[in-house]
Amino acid sequence: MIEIKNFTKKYNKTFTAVDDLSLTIEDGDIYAFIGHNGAGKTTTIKCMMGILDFSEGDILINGLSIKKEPLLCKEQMAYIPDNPDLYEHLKGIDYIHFIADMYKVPMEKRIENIEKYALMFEIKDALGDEISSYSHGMKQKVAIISALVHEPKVLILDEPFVGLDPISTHHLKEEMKRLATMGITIFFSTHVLDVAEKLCNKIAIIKKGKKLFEGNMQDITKDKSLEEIFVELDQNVEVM
Amino acid sequence: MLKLCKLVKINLLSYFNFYKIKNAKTGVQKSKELGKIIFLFLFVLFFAWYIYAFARMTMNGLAMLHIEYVIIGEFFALASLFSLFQTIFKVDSILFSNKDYDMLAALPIKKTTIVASKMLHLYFSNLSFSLIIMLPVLLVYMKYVTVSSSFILLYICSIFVLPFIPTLVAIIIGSFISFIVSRFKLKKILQFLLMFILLGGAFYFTYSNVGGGELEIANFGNTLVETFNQYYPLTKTYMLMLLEKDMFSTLLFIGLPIILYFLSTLVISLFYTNVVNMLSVHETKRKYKLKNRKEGSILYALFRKEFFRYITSANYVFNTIVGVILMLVGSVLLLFISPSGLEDIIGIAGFAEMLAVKAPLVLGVVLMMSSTTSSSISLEGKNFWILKSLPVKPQHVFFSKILVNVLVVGIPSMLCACLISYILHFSFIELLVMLASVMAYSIFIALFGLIMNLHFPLLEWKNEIKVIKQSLSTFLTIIIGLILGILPLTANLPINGELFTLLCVGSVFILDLFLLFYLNTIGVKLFRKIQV
Repeated sequence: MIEIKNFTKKYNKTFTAVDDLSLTIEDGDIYAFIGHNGAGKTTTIKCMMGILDFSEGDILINGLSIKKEPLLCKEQMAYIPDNPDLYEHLKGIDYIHFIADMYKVPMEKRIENIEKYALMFEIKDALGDEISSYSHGMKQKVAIISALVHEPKVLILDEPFVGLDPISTHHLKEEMKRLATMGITIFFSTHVLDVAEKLCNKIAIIKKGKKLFEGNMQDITKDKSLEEIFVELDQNVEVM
Repeated sequence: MLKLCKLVKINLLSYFNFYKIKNAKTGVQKSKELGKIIFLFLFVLFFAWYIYAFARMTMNGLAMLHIEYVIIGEFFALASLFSLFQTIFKVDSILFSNKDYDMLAALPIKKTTIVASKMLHLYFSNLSFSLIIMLPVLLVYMKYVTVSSSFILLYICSIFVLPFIPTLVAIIIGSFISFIVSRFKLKKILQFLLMFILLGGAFYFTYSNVGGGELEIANFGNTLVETFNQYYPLTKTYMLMLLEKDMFSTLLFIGLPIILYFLSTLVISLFYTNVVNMLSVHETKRKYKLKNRKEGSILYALFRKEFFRYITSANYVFNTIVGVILMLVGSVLLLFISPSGLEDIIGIAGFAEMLAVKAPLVLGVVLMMSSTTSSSISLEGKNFWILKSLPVKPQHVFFSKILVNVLVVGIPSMLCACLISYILHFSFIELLVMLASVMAYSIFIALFGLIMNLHFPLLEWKNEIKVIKQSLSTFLTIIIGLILGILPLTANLPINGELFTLLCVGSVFILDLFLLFYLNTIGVKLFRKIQV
């Protein structure tokens, strides 16, 4: 479970990137976090992961505060960034092992998961090559495998489908659904509203750092598509 | 021409980070960036003052021999060599970089314009050093010799022409190295070897001629000019232009480099795309074994990652291991020559006596030049999010980086310490003091470098050379480290030499403990504050 309580992030004490955001993501949720470019999605995600610090509010991961117990929180979490900037001097397999070592994944479990996901994302043959030789999509796949290899309880993804081929996108969506049925909390940002509508059970929309809307996907998309709702909300805010 | 000017402007603004002042949103940010520029300016002044002092010393010797004019040729040669060696290792990361090539090639810009902008980038970065070296020399020359205004005008114009040919030669050599390296599997090893051969050649050339006093330095200058003339005839043309005001020499000196540079741009443009593509080719579909691997602890995994990062970068290794190389070369030389013979080679008066009494401190000075940690945080660059998102303590990250420094620097230094102790017939206690000194100083420079980098991280960079060689943290680490290392050697206290050495080594250990405490407290806070 993720609880974001009155979270505010300011840069240089002047620019407010996220303003008083509160969200609750339950176990088993696939939660879409949607907004314009520069709305504050990546900032929120990075603060959830402890990559950026923040002074106001708190973020709890299964009851533990990311501010007070960052290591205990991170042990349960996995993060897939929007830009997969990985260690270029390592081979793909070495990078995955490096991450697995950080999470103390037993070797048997590790091998099982690497084989499963490497086959799933069709990157098994390339894992012996240096990451510097990979395309964006291949780096994304390695980032995904390294996130899943340690079987996290909370999975945070920042625009995970960018750069992925259609087959891999399909597999990732299926895997996300499977993990959610096992009670894993999944929180991701995306611009692809179609995918969010089909995949997610909950949604929050953010604009200029403020939450516009939060609710169940089924309830809000009864009569309109998510795209129509998004545009409507956006225009209403502008009119206001 | 307009597109060329815009490209060059963007490259230089980005290289020197001047855009950061322009884009700074708050007064604090602006002050910070301005502070860095001021610091850079002070460093330039310091370097210029150093050149001035060295030129004065040289001129005193030349004046004794009544050959004052040699100083012009000598520093012309030094500035040219500096440009040459500076540029060789930048060729593949600036001229043949594929990072921005894709974007530039897709724009409506001629290939010659792209190539010209990159070659001008190299030229301008060398021009800045030529100005810093040659202007103080002019001031020194004017103190000893009455010069006309036309001499001054020609001299200043020549500074702008000086970097062309050395930059061009460096491009040829650098391209050759890149071409050869790209053909081989073991690219990194080959790159290291070629770099060491070049460095070894430079050292041999310098130290086979230089001595310690003003006369020796003056003689070295004369020899340098004569030797340089054999390989670079423009030196003679340069001196004829300035001293004889020969019109033909003036036209030749100013015209030839510019024409050659222009023609080279056209030639390089012809095969530029092929070279950029060839250098970016990687071998793929390499085999690997999933099962033949043991689980590693967090610290081991971090250390392994850090170690591979270090050894896969020729620039990183090359620029941080200089001290260790000097120590190894010096130790091996001692097997064949006496300490006084070594003193003659390196030209430091009293070195032999210093080595006998204060060998542990001499090693300490050399170790102070070898910090891998002073750029280790910055080199994480855009990968820094990985360490921040993982369940690892900052202390583990610190320790892995320190371990690399201690391993790469400490172990060879321990071997040198044993070798020197054997050659100089040290007792067992003296050997222990040598080893303790190596440990104390190598831990110090590792801790200090890391603390400096935590205070002054630079995560946004395109070229790692900027972080490894030109960052504030690297500069402060080396300067402060050297000052702390040299101070005990120059101190003349009324105390037994061995006791003094023991006290110094003990003090460094105490400093190490203090730095360790600092790292564990303030260092951790600084690490957490670094924004990605």
